[in-house]
Amino acid sequence: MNSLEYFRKSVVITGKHAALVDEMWKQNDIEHSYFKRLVDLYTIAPVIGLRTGRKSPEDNSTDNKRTVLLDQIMTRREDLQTIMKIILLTDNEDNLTVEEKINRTFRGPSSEEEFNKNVDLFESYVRGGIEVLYDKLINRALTIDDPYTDRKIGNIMALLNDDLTE
Amino acid sequence: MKFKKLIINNFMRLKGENTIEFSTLPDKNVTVVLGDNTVGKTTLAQAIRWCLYGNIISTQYDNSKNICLLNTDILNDMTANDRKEISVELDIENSINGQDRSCRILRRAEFVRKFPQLVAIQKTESLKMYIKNPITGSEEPYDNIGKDEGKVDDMISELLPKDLSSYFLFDGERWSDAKNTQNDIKDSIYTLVGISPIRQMKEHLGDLGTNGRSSVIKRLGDKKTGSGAEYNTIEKSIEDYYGRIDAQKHEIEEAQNNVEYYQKKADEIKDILNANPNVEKDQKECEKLKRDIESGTSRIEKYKKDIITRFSDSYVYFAAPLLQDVVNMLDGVDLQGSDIPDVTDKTIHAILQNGRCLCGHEVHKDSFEEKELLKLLEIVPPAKIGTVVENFKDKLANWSNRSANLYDAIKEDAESYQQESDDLEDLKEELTIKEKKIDRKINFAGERNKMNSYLIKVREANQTISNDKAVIENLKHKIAMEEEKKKDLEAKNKENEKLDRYIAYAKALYKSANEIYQEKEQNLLGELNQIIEKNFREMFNEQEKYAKLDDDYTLHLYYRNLRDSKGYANAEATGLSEGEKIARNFAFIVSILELANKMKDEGDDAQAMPLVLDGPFSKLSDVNTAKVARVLPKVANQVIIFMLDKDWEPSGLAEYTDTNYMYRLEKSIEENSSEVKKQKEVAE
Repeated sequence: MNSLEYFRKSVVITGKHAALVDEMWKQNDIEHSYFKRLVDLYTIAPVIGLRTGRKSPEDNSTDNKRTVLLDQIMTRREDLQTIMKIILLTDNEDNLTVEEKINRTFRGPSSEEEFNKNVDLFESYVRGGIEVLYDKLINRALTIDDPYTDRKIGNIMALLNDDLTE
Repeated sequence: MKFKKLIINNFMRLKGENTIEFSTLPDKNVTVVLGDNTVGKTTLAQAIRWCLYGNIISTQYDNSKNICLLNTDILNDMTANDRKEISVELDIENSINGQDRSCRILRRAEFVRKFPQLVAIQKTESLKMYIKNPITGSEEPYDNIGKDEGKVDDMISELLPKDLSSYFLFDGERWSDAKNTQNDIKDSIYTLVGISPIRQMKEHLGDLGTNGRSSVIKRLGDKKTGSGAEYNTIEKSIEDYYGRIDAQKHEIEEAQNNVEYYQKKADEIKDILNANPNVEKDQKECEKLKRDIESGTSRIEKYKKDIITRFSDSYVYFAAPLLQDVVNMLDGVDLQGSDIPDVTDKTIHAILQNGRCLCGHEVHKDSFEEKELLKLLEIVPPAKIGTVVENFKDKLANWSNRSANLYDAIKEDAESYQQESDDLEDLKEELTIKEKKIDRKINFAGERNKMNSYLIKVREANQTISNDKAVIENLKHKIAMEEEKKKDLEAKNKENEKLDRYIAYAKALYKSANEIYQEKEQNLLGELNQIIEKNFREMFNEQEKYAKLDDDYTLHLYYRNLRDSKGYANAEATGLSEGEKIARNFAFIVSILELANKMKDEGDDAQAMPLVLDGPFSKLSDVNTAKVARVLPKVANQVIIFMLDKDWEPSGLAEYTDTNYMYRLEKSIEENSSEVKKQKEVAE
């Protein structure tokens, strides 16, 4: 069933999250970006969200929109699916047993309802991750302890060294 | 057009070959065939119809299916394997535009006998036409089959349209048939009196299809393309583009002036700076420092880019701490062990369906047993997920490796960046000190600042020039595209002009065709009615009733004495006797012929056709026969008439008949067949 396969559509990031994304990524302008492509941000964010246990609801308070195009998503599809599996195995929202988690991860969604629920879960981690990334990459100021004078490099290194606990 | 000769072979009542030559004399234009009832007069008319159109009028026979075109005596003599041919040949004298285009039409059919029954079965039929070439005088044959299928049919249709056969070929019973004066009679009359060509032309030009959709004028109009407005728009945008190019060129010129001016200014100051020997060494060192700073800057840019590129793949790194937990979780569940050898989902489904386990235990709905079996269903093949999970674990292992390298690589780049960046700061500091030193020495700080600002202005002007040039290129491209469009349109406009000329021509033609048609049509009915009334009165000496063609071209009889008294003007005479019906139709036919002749004399496209009549007088009184018959040779250019002996004298046609064209149909005593003989030979 093609319609129940993950990552077969382009993704729209809305509201305040789109605004946060704009601070971290500018099209065709690596000089002012933390990521080469928008899909890179879209791949890292859910992992960060999961690591920090940060989920965030969709925000539609503004008309901001950023679209991750399908052809970009296709280049990352396999890794995105792996991240989806890790999330489905790790997330404890529904208090599932290990066997139930394994079933939902490896047997695939059995209904459209389950499919949508899983996609929503993934997206909420994406949004949580975007918030964390913004905090750590844009909001953070360099301190005297940072060994790097460039703010972008300093913050990236700080993020890599962060233990990202919840 | 006149019929010259009819050669009939084994056709219906006529056995063997029978030939009738028709009179084509201008004054004695009547050919007569006399014969008793049942000797086959009607066969002659049928032969002409069959030769021209391949069918016969079948309504006068009891069972039309049983009509046999092959002569019965011939059929009687046939055995099982015999084949016999019938044929009818009609020779026609005709001229087109003053040229002799006489022709012969020959139709043949071959029959076998359904032995021993007396039934003939037609096997083949062929139609040929031979037309005289006016130059060589020889005959040119035309076929109706193969690649020429239907060709002779078409040619006959042009010569003697089947629709018009009602007006020249009166074979038999239809003398009193009301159909003679109805149906598409209007079209037929139009053809006869020569209005049809002009009407066809008018329709073809302007009226064909719904609202003239298929007409020539409309179709020509459809071929037109583009419009003047479009052309003007293109012209205007081209003009606009040229205007913008001029503006850009002007801007470039200005910018070029600026470049020259500021470059000159900058060079002057630079010369002054360089010319000072005291600062020469310092200057050189400054230049080198600047170069070093430039290359250092590009290196740190590269490090930064590398870091971003690597960081963009960092999801594997960030996921790494989660992976071990995930693997531990998966290892904790025995996915492989659940696999029972050789048991598949089919086994479980069978047990569930039977309601009894292999061990004999019963399995009820919603029972513990059923739940256990359903659980089992999820882990036996093909639902087993062991392999999928193993693949996933492999993938996670791969991520772990990638993540370790990633961190090291980014860190290395970051350190290199920092190192270079620190060095760069030192270089910049050194450069500033050196420049200050130079400026202090000669106090040229102000000049240097000025020079730098000039150079910035040069750079800006150069930027403007290259931008403007790009804009001009773009505009030129746009102009080229518009010019292409213009060319297309011009070509179309030429075509349109041509079409406009055609349309104007077609419209003018349509207008005059329409005028001619209107005029002719208006006159036609009135003229025809005058003639009908005259003929009806003359032919039947009728005082009480008169015949009149209504607007729909149907012929009616009205009471004369009621015509003048108001309120009864249209009292139609109904319940007509057979004789009255014949009289009415005669008047009609004769009148049409008269009108056609009149129009032909006036130079119209009217048709002059022979008139073939089969037993027309049998139901008329002698007095009426005489009146009718006397009119015929005058209105038709050729009269071919088959009649009973008893009608010959009263008809008075002897006056119009050359004895060479008088024939008699005789039936042989032993046989069922008849034979055509010349009257004078019989008399001798």
